Amino acid sequence: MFEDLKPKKINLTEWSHQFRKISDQIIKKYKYYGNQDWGIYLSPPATFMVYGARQLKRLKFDNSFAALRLWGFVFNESERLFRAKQVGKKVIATMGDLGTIPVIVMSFPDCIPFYPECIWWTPFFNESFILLDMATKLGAPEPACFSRAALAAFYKKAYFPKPDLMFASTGASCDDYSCIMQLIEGLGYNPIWIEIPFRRKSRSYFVADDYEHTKWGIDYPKRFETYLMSEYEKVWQNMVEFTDINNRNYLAKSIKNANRLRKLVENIKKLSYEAELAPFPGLELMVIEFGNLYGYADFDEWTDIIEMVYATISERVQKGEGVLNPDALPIAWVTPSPDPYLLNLVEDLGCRIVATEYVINQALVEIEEDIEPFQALARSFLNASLIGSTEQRVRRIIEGVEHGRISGVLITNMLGCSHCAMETRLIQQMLSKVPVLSIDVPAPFGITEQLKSRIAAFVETIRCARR
Amino acid sequence: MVLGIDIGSCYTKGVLFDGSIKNKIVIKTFFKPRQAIEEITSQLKGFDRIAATGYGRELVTDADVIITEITAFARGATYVNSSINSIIDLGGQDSKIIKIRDGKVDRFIMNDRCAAGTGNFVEKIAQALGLRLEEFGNFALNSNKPEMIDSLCVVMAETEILSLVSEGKRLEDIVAGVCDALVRRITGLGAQIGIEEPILFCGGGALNPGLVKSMKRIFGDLIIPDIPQFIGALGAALSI
Repeated sequence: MFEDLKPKKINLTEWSHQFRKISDQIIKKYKYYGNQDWGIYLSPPATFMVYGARQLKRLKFDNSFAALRLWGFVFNESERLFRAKQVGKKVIATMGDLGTIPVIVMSFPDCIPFYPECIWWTPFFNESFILLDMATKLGAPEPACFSRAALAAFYKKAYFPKPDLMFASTGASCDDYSCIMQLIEGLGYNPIWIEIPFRRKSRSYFVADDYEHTKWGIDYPKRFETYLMSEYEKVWQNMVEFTDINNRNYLAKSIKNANRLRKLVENIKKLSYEAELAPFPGLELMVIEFGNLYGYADFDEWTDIIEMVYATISERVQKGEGVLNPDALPIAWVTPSPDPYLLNLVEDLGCRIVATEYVINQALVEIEEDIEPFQALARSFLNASLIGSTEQRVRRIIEGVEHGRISGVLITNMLGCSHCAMETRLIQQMLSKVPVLSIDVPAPFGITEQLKSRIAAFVETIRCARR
Repeated sequence: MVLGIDIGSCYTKGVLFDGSIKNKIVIKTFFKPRQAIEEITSQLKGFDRIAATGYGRELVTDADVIITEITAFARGATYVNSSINSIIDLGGQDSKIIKIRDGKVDRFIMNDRCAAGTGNFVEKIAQALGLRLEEFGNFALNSNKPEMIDSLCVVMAETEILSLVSEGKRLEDIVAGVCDALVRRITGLGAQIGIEEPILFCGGGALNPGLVKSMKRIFGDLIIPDIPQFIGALGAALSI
């Protein structure tokens, strides 16, 4: 077995060197889609530069075996989706809801959910404008957020296979991505539309309604729950029609699987963020958090990887080992960055991420297992950062600031992102007790010295405030 | 004795500090920051330590301390006047607004992507009007009815200004309008973090009397230090 070295962040060359020490036996041990011989995914991250991920040469990775598995698996997703089609699995695109519909899709044997909008990372990993330029030609120019890369990917038909079925959520989903999905529909695809109810503080609008609150303290009008359940029933019926299978027991099992992963990720975040030294880098932790959405198109293998990551982090915490300087400043990160390099950069400049609000709260909370499954899914979704008020969205960050766990907050905005446009200023006002830096994530190649200066000044400001 | 050096995009500034400013110098960077650093270090002699700031700060390889402009301006400005709550720095490549609380940086905001809020804007327009930079500010002082320049984009503003010229408007009023437009841009930036008085105005922009007049019209009383261009270099020197 590969023996983990002293934890640190390493570059591509170091990983390639380290990879040579891994035996063939180990490489062949880890496979996707139920242990098929062709499902090997362990390879040094440098392999994926061949497929165009040129930015990898700039990134630094955790040096554990668990991280190697994680990156090999994540970068392998495109191949995995095409393989799925080759072996007769059904590939189902779930777009815009960020957390619930994949749980329903996974209840149907051999159905693989995936999020095409996650391709927004591709132009950055590839350091390429191909997708963004094509999106512009197709009617989604710069004023739309980077998720417009999905439009070009659907058009080019080369980044993932044609989905067998598509679900697209609109309403309180990101406004810009709703537009992107409509443009995708215009290319001849046929999404089944799901509506997500309302955004903002609902009590001021639905005064006469009966109210409930989720296990996590979010208030909502009861009829939202009923409405969402009817939408999920629609998803279910479409899946039944498509697969000819109708077994609700599978849904309960799918919820259990989703919860297993969600609990693991919750524990990883708690361990990592509360440990004296940062046991795992922020970039990997972001990738882990987003894995909750759909397990990067193989939920079981992803859960297995996350168990290994959890074991690695636990061991590091126990030994008091970390990957960052002990004096790294604890900050919260609001809104995910499509450019992974920014997470490396912020750590290199002296910060440590100890809290996140990546607009995917609905994928992070456990789904209740002792109530009717659709009701449980609806109630878990109602925790969504996509809906509800800005205050609800950043409540945990505010709590962290008040308890002194967070010394600064970094907000990454995207030009054209409806959430950023509506919320960033409000979030800044709510977080007046600590230094807040809001930066616009530039297009590939756009990280300039000025931007680095701004982050460095933010770090100096926090240090100065703590003195 | 400490040499504080601020390598900006347009000018490189050096300050020799030993309890007070002993000497200072400013030279054009001319896109050759290494050369500018060499010139400053050869002209200002007698220092035993160096503190660097500005966009070219990383190029000062033998610096004892390197800090960002935000921290440097805050240190320099609060040294000059400890009562200030806000700093507005108008530099060649960017403009910054820094809010101070208890003598430390509380919040800051920078405009470094659009030329319309920077010293560059003034230089471009002065060039288009055939004026030397030194003349530009004095022209604005002679205006009593500044023209309204709506465009906040330097390219569009240039077109708008040329059409005002062709309409026969007074050059003094056009120049004053340009200064007002730039200050409006800074006001918009400042609204995002909330500028609080007393305000210190520094950077190369504070040497331009036309801009100072416009700034005072919008912000009321301003504190303008004797050495507005050297606040960053001074702040760097103070960081050792």
